[in-house]
Amino acid sequence: MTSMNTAFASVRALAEAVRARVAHVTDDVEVRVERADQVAYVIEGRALIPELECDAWRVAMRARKGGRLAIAATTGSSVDDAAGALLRSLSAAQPDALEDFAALHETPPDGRGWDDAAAAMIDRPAQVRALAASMADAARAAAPGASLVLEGGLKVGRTWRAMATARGATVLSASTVGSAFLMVDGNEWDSLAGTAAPTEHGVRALGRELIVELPPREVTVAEWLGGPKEVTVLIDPRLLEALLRALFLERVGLDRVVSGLSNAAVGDVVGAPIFSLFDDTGAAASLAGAVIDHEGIIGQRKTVVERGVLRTLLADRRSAKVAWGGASTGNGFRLPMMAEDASEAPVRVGMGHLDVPAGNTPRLKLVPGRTVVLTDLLGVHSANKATGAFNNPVQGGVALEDGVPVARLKAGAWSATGNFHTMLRALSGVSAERLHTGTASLPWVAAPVRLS
Amino acid sequence: MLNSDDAPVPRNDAAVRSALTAALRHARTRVPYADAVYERVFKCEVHQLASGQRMVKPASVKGSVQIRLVGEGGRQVGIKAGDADVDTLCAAIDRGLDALAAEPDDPGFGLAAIPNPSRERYGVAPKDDPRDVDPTPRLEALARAVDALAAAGSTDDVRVVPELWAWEQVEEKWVADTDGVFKTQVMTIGFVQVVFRAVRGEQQARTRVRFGEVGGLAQYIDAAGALSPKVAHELAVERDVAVRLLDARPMTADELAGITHYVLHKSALVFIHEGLGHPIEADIVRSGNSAIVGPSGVALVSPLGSSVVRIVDGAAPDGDGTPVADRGFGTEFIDDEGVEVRAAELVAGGHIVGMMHSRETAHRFGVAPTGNGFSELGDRRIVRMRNTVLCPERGDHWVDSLGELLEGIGLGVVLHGSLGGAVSKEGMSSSTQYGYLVRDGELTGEIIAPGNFTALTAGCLKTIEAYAGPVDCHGVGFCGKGSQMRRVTEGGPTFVRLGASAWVNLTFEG
Repeated sequence: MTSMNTAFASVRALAEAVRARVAHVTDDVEVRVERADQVAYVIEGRALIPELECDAWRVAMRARKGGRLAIAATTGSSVDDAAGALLRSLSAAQPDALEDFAALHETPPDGRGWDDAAAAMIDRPAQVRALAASMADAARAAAPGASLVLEGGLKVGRTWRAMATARGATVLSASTVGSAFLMVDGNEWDSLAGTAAPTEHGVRALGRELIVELPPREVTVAEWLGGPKEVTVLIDPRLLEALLRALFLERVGLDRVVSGLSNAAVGDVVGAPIFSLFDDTGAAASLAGAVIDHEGIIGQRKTVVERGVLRTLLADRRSAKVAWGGASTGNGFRLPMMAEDASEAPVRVGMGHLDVPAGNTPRLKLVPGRTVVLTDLLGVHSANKATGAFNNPVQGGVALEDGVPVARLKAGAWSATGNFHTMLRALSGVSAERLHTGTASLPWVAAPVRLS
Repeated sequence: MLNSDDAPVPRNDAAVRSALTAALRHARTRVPYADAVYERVFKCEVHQLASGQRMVKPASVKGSVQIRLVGEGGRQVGIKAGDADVDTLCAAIDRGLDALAAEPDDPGFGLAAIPNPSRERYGVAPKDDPRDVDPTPRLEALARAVDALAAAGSTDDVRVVPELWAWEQVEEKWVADTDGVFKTQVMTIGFVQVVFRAVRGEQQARTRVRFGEVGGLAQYIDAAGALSPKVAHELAVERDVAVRLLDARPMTADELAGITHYVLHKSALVFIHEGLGHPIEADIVRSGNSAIVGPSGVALVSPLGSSVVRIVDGAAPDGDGTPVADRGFGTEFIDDEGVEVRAAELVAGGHIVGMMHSRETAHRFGVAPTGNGFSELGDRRIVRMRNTVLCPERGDHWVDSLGELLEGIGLGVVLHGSLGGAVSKEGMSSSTQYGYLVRDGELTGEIIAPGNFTALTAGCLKTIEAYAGPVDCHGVGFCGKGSQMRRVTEGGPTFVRLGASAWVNLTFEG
């Protein structure tokens, strides 16, 4: 087993060696090193497939020279490869508004995202396997005789990080991840995720409840609603998170405002008075609660929306400098798109842990009469980021009669259409219950959506 | 594809070979069989964001190893290791042995033999190798050319904002096993993506264009900074469409109710990949997650499509549908298990006739592997598509021009482009970028707003009636199956005509 001290020493050594190698030819440098291990078991039907990852390294680097910014990335633990790539990138450095990198302060290694039990499980793959098998068994036992097709998996991982810039200390942090995911018949799914190790009780409940809570009957739009129509639906926290990250970020990211792609301004009414939103990059036990963002800014909790009114735009160092001449909100992340590796992605404004306060009404009493709860939409990533409009097939949902689940939404037979920004302003209810998705703490909300 | 003697040799080949050989020797003392794939990618790229921020990265390097240990009784485990050095690999193997001990026997597991095991070298040598020749001037020239195109399309009222993402990468791959197989491949791949955002006041519209092919960026922009005529033309067209989309409208409810046909441009054929390709991947079939092929490999829907439907996955074809070994964004010469890529005919005459296989699924189904076993940089090897194409047989159903194809259509829409798709067990969904209305067999010139095209897997191919134009793998993209990204294309004739039915649907944003 890799000891904590050994692992921290290895990532620190690589970050500082790269910094030293380029210091004499740059004005400033930023090196972010990650070293990760992972054990996962993938459920494919009846099969349980092991996937192990040992010592995966990622090195993300930026350097400034003469007002220009150079960027490079490598995987692997080679100082020569990393420093060589960054040195070579200096000749391609581009003019950039980013004037400097963060000055990092000496702090003890931060282990707020670390769970000893999760880390230890990585060295006990049999235990991880048993948990994955238990989750699938619990699901099958909940529907004896049924031929369920299960997909999913269970994963534990640990990551050590070091970040160094030309000024200040090298900041060390470590975190773990434990997650489980289960999908039945390619449609309905549930998951749990966080920094802690999955438990036997937790994964069995996940498998069992996913099946038990699904009514056997299936309905189409015509059967349930009499045909296409706009109705007030319940949005599951998992779908709410997906829409916030895919569409609301396009409105409240300061880099989008700087680019002219969003005209949002503090004081705008962006939601109903019952809706508030916090972005907490320092949240404990969250996979999105980074101790520091990817530019070295210490995590903090920000009020993004207060009772429907936009209070803060989210910024990275560049957009904060350009728009405010001031400090970042700590939302600079290397968010990969498509075939990018995280280390090679540009720093963009992203969201941390999302937190929407609960309301007072139990979720199943939010919408009387006939409605549906939408768990997921197929292809949210293809929604219109410019306008907030979406128009996607439903993947996972249940028909409700006065809050009682009575039927599943027939797979492939439902589509949902709406505009997320309009929906937020038209929210009619926020549930008293919240779900921790691993990266957000969100309630169920009631909002108008056209179903067809 | 070059002959083995002519194919390029990856850099540091001797060192990598030595490390893999030593690691596999270490594994062989503990298990009956092991194999490994090491992939290393050198990438240069340019990003230009809508803010105007430009990032040029002339050198990024990434690589990882995947080792598979196969124990007694069909037990097996895969391990990803970050570095291709002996110590790291042996440590990874030792950790994998712990996991292997926890595996139950799997008597059905096996690996089909690697064809042509003695051939070692595959690939095409890079031209203007970006590891040796500074790619920065070409990357910057590409950004300037796109800026100029955008500026030329802007007016007093409308600002065209471009976004660019382009890269060229040299991919090197080593595959080896404990039976003595040792194969390498060197490929260069070029990719360009341009998004044009048309902004008028608070209104926005956008189009996205992609190019991707075996070979470097030189095929898209020359050393003097001039875009190739084909690229320049297509970019200008899509730029102007973005501006026109500011005044586009969705189809009305009456039009949607009365529609008789959909005509899909080759840029809008993502349903071939999402809806028809994935359900014919043998690992998905085996898991029970295919709606059209049962876990035993027997087709659940027959016929799957109309008689004019033929789908092939493999190297990209020429205009007549004949595969060309070194063409296509999804093309490789060997997969990540060392199996030479061969065309897999999936659907012929409307019937399912084959599946895509890795070594493992080929063994389970008792067939030869098709070279579809791929991983993303050290991840587990799974069945992946390459270039998945509608390649019809010649006949009256395949005409030359769009005009001929539109004959007899009462009310239809020609759909172009997609910003992505997604698949479920029953069907797929893909965005459409724009469309043109068709009435009484003629294009009306009315431009239709972005929508969402959905197709149910079990029946959508039954509605295909006819084709127009040459075959082209135009749909350059990245498939994210199993959270592993892989470059792929989908394609077909320039236009594909589908009759309206309950199997397909078009909706528009609210």
